[in-house]
Amino acid sequence: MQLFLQRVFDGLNNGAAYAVVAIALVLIFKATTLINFAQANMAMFGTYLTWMLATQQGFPIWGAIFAAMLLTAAGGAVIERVLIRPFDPTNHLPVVLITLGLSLILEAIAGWKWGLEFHRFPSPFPAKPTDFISIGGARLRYETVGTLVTMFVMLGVLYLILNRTKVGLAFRAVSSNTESSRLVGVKVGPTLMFGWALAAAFGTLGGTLVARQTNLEPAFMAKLVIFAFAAATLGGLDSIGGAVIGAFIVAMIQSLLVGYAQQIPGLQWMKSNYALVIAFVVILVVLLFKPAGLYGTKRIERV
Amino acid sequence: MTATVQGSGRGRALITAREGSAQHRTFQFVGWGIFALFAVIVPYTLPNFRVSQFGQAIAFGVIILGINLIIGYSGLLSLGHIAFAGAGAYTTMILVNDNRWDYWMTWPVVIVICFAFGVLIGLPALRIQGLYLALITIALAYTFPILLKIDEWGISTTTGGDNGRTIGEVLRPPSWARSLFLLNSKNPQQQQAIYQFICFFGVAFVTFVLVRNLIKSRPGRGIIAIRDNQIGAAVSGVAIARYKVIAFGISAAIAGIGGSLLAINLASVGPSSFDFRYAILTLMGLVLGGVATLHGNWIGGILLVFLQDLASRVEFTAIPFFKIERGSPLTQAVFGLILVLVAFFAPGGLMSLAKKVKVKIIRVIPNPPTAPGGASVLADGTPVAEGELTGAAR
Repeated sequence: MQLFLQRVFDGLNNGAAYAVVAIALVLIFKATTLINFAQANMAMFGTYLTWMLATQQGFPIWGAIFAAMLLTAAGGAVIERVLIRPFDPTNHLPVVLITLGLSLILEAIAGWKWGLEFHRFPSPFPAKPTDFISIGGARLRYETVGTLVTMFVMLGVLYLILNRTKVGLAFRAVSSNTESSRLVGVKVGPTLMFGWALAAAFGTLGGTLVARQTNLEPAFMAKLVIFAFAAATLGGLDSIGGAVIGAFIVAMIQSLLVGYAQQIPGLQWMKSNYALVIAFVVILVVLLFKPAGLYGTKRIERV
Repeated sequence: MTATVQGSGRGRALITAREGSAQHRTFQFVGWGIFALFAVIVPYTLPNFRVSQFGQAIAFGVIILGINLIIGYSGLLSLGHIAFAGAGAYTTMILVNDNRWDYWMTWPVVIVICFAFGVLIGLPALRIQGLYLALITIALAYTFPILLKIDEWGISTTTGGDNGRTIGEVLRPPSWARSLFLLNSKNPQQQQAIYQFICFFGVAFVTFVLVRNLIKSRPGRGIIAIRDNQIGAAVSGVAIARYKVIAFGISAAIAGIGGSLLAINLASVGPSSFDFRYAILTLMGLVLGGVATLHGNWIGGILLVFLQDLASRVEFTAIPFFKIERGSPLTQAVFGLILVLVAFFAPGGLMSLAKKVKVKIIRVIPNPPTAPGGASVLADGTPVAEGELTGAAR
């Protein structure tokens, strides 16, 4: 029981982090029906900015996180305007090229500026070895609680932005029907820029939430983003709530399966390094049987 | 693509020739001549390591050919074909090292295994389209190197785990090849390098011809029809499921052959040659050469190898606060930059630029198509609208 609870808590921690990144992916998919393959490295870059502000400029950690979120939001808006908007979103190849290329460029710059070695990331939450609540003998760390709370606060903020502000209304209009919203006078371009800015900022937040556990290096988000992809596909690429639920399902599968694999005959090889395989299988199976995901809207093609 | 058709109408070409006329055939012979000259000059004049680099370029060219067949001609956005190349390379390595097979004997096994692997991944592609397919194939590219490192069932000892394994065999020229390719005066390393290049070149030529014939054949036209309009193709009687899966299998088999070439060229097989980075680099090679062109992949392979070579050697220390040391991570940005620049400025790749030059030199007026009976479709022989003709001639 204690072990089970411990694994669930670990799963919650990962799930919250996956959810934040998956939401960033979903925001961009909703707005532009594109998958941003540079999301991981945009978040990585934002996390490095946070680290630099916190450790070299003496910002308090949360101040550094907000400053980096603002900076990456600006960066996201610029990327949308300069690199994404010139292309037709229904033609997939150029966008794949642009986002993959951007991803390589960001990784190269980070490796050049900050080095390829691991950096220790300051924790945004109390993270001393004694900082945990004991539930049934299992340790629920303050970090886990903090990550979960941050994620839910973020969801709340996102809900308020999308449902209580004018730009949020415009965003929902554009994601539901771009042409019609343009006809009724919604400024589509700035709205998409806003969506990318929001996604970039959330990606940065997601990066800072996991950087403490994974340590900071130029490829640290690339390992995580596959889980976020899996979460977003599982939930449905255009559903924010689905992304959150998908993230927790993926994280729980990962945590429990890896945890119990040693006892399951034929699965002894499943150690945490190979958890990516789980993500891959999840993506494959979900897309095979429910191509739109659990909560996604089915797309009907008209001839 | 329409731009090329319009471009061929504008301006005046140096030569205007009817299809199949003496002038047109001379032009074609010059093209083949340059190609053949390349095959002679590279191995016999360059130092060994350059010859080997060109061999590597051909191996990547074959991998990119497989990717081209799936992305360019079938319109299925697969970013995971590097995994099939890896499967081919590992199959060759294991059979040669552990089972003492002759290198060429591993090929049928490579083709069968990669074809089956491709069909397996292609089956989901029947339901998954566009960016969703890109998503699962990119996940495949991430997952493949990890699968090789699994410790159970002796997988990591067979594959060599993180470090990979060296290959115990090299391509040694048999005696008839030594005299045929004038190798007797050269030292053994040179003989080997030249022979390997010639073998690679032959393989490249054969795969090129096979793919070209496939594209021009009935199934090839079906595959292209599916890419251009899936529903339209289905209505016209193209068996969508079968063609898509077979296209996936064939392209995977070609990528596997490329991987097998790469294995013998590098003399070792490791997970780092078939990881996510190479998935992006081969994609870069494809778009740089030209998507859905028959020659672009070779240009892509050459550029891929030599740009990497260049990136590993470049240094920049002129400005004190902006230094790039040798092997600095920043040099990797060039590949990303190329991807972005190609998407913006040369969506057709270098082949589209070559085509623009070609229409300045020669304009080919195609013969009117003939009906099965042999009679001209247009009885009076009047040419159809020019744009359509040049379009068909492509």
